[in-house]
Amino acid sequence: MRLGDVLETPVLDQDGRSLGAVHDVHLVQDGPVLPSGMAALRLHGLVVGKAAFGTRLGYASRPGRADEGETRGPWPIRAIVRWLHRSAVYVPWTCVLSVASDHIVVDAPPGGFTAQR
Amino acid sequence: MEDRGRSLWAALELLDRQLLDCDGTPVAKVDDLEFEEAEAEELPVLTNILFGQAALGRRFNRRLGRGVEMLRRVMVPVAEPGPARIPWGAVKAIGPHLTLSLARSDISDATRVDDWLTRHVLSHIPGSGIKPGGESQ
Repeated sequence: MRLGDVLETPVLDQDGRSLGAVHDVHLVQDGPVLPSGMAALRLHGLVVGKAAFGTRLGYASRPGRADEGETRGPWPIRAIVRWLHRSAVYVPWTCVLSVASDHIVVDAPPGGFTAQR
Repeated sequence: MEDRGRSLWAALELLDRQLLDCDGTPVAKVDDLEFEEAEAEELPVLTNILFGQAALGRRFNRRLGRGVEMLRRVMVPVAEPGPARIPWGAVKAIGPHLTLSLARSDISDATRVDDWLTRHVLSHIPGSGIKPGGESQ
């Protein structure tokens, strides 16, 4: 599986409802130890939404990062990004049911996924 | 690559970043990333950096990517068509760019198309600063 096959791919829940498209992929360095002595990066989750390009610009809050380390200004851009991100959610990889070439199916919990703003 | 548990965002912090060889010379950019398919209830593991025209072409259009992969196979004698790869284990530092533990000569296959274009096309353009042999003046 390639990152390019996942990015911008439409995401559907188990009932066929659209959640948007994948805008970024969350990696954590907690995998098996490589020959170089470093731990491998594992894919932990996806940022999914109708319009979540602020993630690619570094404006959205992200799991694993302290908020004070994130880009927050200028405020008009922050406000616009927050508004555009109103539908963005973080989907843990463990909720992904299948990855096809034109869509990804996820198992949405009853209360929905965590908002990604 | 220092701290275990470090969190990274692939599109924001890895994709399109410059790759430097062990001497600090730019060799390519990160055009895609390849993950090993995981067993049930396991998370996919990042295994390779993909780069070059074949990797970039697929990001724009899958059919274009396949065509460039086949073209690369004509120019580079590899068993399977596909983009140039560097194992993720060869990355020794992540920052504004990714530093590799490899020398440029170790990944010459990957830069063969660029080298060919430099020698046969760019070197003939007046003012390119490249001698016909392919070296910078």
